[in-house]
Amino acid sequence: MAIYKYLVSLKGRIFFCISIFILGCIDPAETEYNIIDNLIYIDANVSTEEGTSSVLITRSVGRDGTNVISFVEGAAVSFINTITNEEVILNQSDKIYLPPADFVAAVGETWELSVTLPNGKKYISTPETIIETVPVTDIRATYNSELVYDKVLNEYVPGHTILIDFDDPPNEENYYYWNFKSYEKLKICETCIQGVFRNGICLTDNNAIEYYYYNYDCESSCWHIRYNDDIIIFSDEFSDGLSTVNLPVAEVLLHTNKNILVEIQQFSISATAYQYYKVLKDIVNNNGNLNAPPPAAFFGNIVNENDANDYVLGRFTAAAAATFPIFIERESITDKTIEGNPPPARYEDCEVDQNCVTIAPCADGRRDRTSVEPNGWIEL
Amino acid sequence: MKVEHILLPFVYLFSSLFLMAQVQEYEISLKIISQKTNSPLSNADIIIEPCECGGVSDSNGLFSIQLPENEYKISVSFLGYKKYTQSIKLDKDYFLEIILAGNEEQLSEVVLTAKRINDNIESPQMGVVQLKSFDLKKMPVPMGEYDVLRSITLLAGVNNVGEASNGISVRGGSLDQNLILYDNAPIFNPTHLFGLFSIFTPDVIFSTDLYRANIPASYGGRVASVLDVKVKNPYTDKFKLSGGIGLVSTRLAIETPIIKDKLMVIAGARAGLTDFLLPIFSKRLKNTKARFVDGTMKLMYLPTKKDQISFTGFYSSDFYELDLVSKIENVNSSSNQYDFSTVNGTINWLHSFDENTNLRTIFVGSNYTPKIIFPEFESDNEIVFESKINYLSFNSELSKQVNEAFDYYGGIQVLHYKINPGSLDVGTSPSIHPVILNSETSYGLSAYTNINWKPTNQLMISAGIRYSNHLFVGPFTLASYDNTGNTIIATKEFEKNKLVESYDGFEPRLGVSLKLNESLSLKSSYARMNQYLQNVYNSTSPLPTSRWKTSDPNIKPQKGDSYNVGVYKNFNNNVIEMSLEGYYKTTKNVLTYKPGADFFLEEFLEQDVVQAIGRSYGIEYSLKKTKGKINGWFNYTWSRSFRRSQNVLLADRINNNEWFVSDFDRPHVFNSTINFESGKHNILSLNFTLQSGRPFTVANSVFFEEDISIPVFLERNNARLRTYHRLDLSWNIKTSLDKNAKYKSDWTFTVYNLYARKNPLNKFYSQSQPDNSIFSGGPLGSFEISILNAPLFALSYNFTFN
Repeated sequence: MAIYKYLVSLKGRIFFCISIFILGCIDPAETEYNIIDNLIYIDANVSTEEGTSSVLITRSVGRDGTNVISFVEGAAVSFINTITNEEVILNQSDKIYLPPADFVAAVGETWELSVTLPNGKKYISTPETIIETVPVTDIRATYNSELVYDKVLNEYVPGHTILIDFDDPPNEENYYYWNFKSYEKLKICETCIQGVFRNGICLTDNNAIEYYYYNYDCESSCWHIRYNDDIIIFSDEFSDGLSTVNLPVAEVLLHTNKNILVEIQQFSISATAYQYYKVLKDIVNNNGNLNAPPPAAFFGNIVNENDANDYVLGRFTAAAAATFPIFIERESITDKTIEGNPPPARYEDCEVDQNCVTIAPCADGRRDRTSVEPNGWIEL
Repeated sequence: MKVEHILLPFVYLFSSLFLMAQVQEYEISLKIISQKTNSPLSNADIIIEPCECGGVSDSNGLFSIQLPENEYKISVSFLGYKKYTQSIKLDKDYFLEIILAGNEEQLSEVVLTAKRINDNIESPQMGVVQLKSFDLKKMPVPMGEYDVLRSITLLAGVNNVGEASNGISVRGGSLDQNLILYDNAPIFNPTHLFGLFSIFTPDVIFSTDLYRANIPASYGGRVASVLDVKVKNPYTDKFKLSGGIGLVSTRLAIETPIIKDKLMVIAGARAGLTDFLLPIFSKRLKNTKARFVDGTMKLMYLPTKKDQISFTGFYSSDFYELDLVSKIENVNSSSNQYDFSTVNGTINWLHSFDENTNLRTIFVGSNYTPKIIFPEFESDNEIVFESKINYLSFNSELSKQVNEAFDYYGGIQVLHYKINPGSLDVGTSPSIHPVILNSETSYGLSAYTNINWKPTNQLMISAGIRYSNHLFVGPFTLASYDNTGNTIIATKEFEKNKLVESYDGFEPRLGVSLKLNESLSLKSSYARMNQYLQNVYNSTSPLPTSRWKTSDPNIKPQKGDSYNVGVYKNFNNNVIEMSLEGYYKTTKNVLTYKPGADFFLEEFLEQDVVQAIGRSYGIEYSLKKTKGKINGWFNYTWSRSFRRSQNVLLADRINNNEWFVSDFDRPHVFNSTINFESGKHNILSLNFTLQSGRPFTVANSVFFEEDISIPVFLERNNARLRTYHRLDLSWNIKTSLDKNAKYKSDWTFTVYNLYARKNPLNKFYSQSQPDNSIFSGGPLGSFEISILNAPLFALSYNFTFN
């Protein structure tokens, strides 16, 4: 009552407000394109690791509003060492141009790319010098039960952040780029829904009325490979010569709670390569934010010397790579995984069908599978 | 469905509503006479309630208006006279002769110019709109608090990026091309909560003027518009208090005399500290922090009858952390937190030599300090980025009304900018170097004059000119570049206060009004504006921490030319105002950015900046009904806005240097606000807005970088988001009807986005997830981001004690 009298004596106005507010909604939408035909994209890499240098040349082909990429065949492709003038010819091999199998570049060498397309247009890159990689002094993983927000699931999902430490070399500009592969060991290599596995494929019974499925165990050791879908870069513009600690270089989501090996690859790249990947990062990772930069074309360092208005997309990068594996035990994690609990394993009944199959190959040809045990794998 | 197909039924509907609202009306005619001189009193303020209408008496002391049958309270006031009040029941035509008695205790003889009731017909000023606080209060807005920037986007030619827009776009201009003034002090960041609210303290706002065509010569510095927000003058003889409590903010305001008839104050404050509730409403907001405060105080001192001195102080501060903002590169931290504050002070001294001659002198100090806080991983240490704008201004202006047909004003302005582009305080971190960029200093010297001349009863001319001079001085490191503009070939150091670069220019302003009769006029105008300060940001809407940059040898001033024509017609004794305005604008040296531009602690930011040209044009149709049981306005705008880069290097070009539509291009915009003032109990207000979707860019192809799908963008703004439309409602219910009651109360219920339209703020690509069938296995997925996905309800209870 006393408060009431006090309020009454204020000779003023009191304002009460109740509101409900829902903010920040992200919904899937139709993916639109405005296709331009015959754009050329060149992704060329010279590496210090055997078997990893390659050149991919593709061309955009729009058909009925959908986007199709076609491999450009018949191009003359070579790497040129600008110091020694050594020219390494690349040959076409199953939709990629590859140098001789024993080709490796060395730290300190300077290379450029030369490409002549079947239509006679000739492109050349600016030279790239291979810079020595910076050693990682420590690598570790930290777990967060709400690591990132998944737009499709509309919830936070768990995962590990891979953190590294390294000592940045003083008095020089250093630019870093990371990617990763992760390996989870598979028990089941194939699952056929309303069908059976025969001769390497699932034969689906289109007349089946009831829902059923069969699992097929891996016939040999097999690992499921996942790749990063973020662009991770770093520049020492504010940390030249200092020790960088706890730098996150990968987010490994808890798709399953199987143990996982994560292979971090670190590249030391040039200033122009960093700028190129910064544009890619804006396009790929930063485009859904409130401060999203406007989309931009990712023109790299490959030009047509005879026509300044002709352009190709993509870039030639010569860089040394270093790989750092880290094995993460996840079987004790009880948080809900992204893929959820798999349904119970079901196998064909060999007592009924003598032609039954219960195993399937690892399918090494698939980009997301390997039967070769990765370095650093720990069998627990 | 095309926008115009949706639009036509609404145009028809709202036109019909305006026209059907005509009930039996009678005329009130007033003649105001001075008791002291026994002569007619011109420019006396007349307020009629409850219609919130009125005006000022003409040179013969006469005023008349037609109103529907009802009971009205007429108040007449004039400085130096006692206020006169009379209630009448209007059931026939009335003529009243009102004799105002002198008031020896009158506070001041300072002359305040009121607007004539048909000012829109007579004035040569074009493209100006004014919203008074009672206009703003009627308009439904998010959270129920009336909001200057949100409301002003319902006017013709004004737009924004969407719900999360840190400013407004006027006639296709960018967000930093508007001079936003709050009691003469500049506002560099006008919003709280990522653009959801404007920062002006709601309870103390008096009026908002938006100039977007022939901007008066007394204003300069931006090429698109001037938004002039005024704080109430606390002419009061009693204590008043108001306030509020809500889920989003808590408010309090007082207005009181300190020394009777000499010193008065109004002060208001608002705080939003309830971000801990956000996760209740959306999981996405789990890691969001958003707190803000703002406060405004205005002291009014009346030392003599000829002097009026006011001081306005303003403080605003925000702190937020949000997942939906990209992190700063190369500063390793667990999160990015944004902390920014504004401290403004304005001293305004108005001296009246006589009733026709005034000298106004204004000192302004403004300090804007944005920070980004980087908490380090597994550490208590915080790395802090801080930048700062210090602004000082002195302005003195003499105005004189020579006779009824001629008046003039002229003045000078001197201003000083000191911008600290950024420093990095690393605290105890051993992993990062401290950085301090050199501060940038510049001075602005301006002189201006303007005449308003009415050579005949039909013709009125407003002609002005402003000369502006911008001086950029040291200390400064000037970089020279090779012909690609990307490589520094030399640097030159300038010592403190040594002139680095100067720019100047004359800015003519001209407006001509030809009155064809008492209710019809034609107008045309031209204005040139120079802009020496720009906000540098490589996104659609700037963050509060975006960098500000005055023009230097590498960043040329923006120049804008605006050509306007219009026809203005009032109907039904000025109750209905109609206007049709067309404009064509060109701008030079508009900032655009190279791909991957990043200005964080960048010493030579011109490396990433390219200046473009712009053009925009449009036609704005507006119909406003100011009185009656159904009142409000609607407007339709057809307009276009384009940019064109002029970059040499292929990789730096935008849209290959072809014209492209700007982010603020909206070919069709329809806005409507209608107030139903039915009886004494209820006021129902509706806002409806319908406009073409914002331009955005769809990919021209997709390529693959290892396993990442990368959309290719060779064009800019080659598509549009879905059409934007929204209906808002505000319902005010009075529960106390006795006018003499000491206790009065009312409820206000507002719904923003009534039918839960998910208007997209942006559409973007994502990596397609092969395990998920949503994107049909294509290389890219796509998402729309919208700020609101439901109606936004707010209920307020108001009561007053007298």
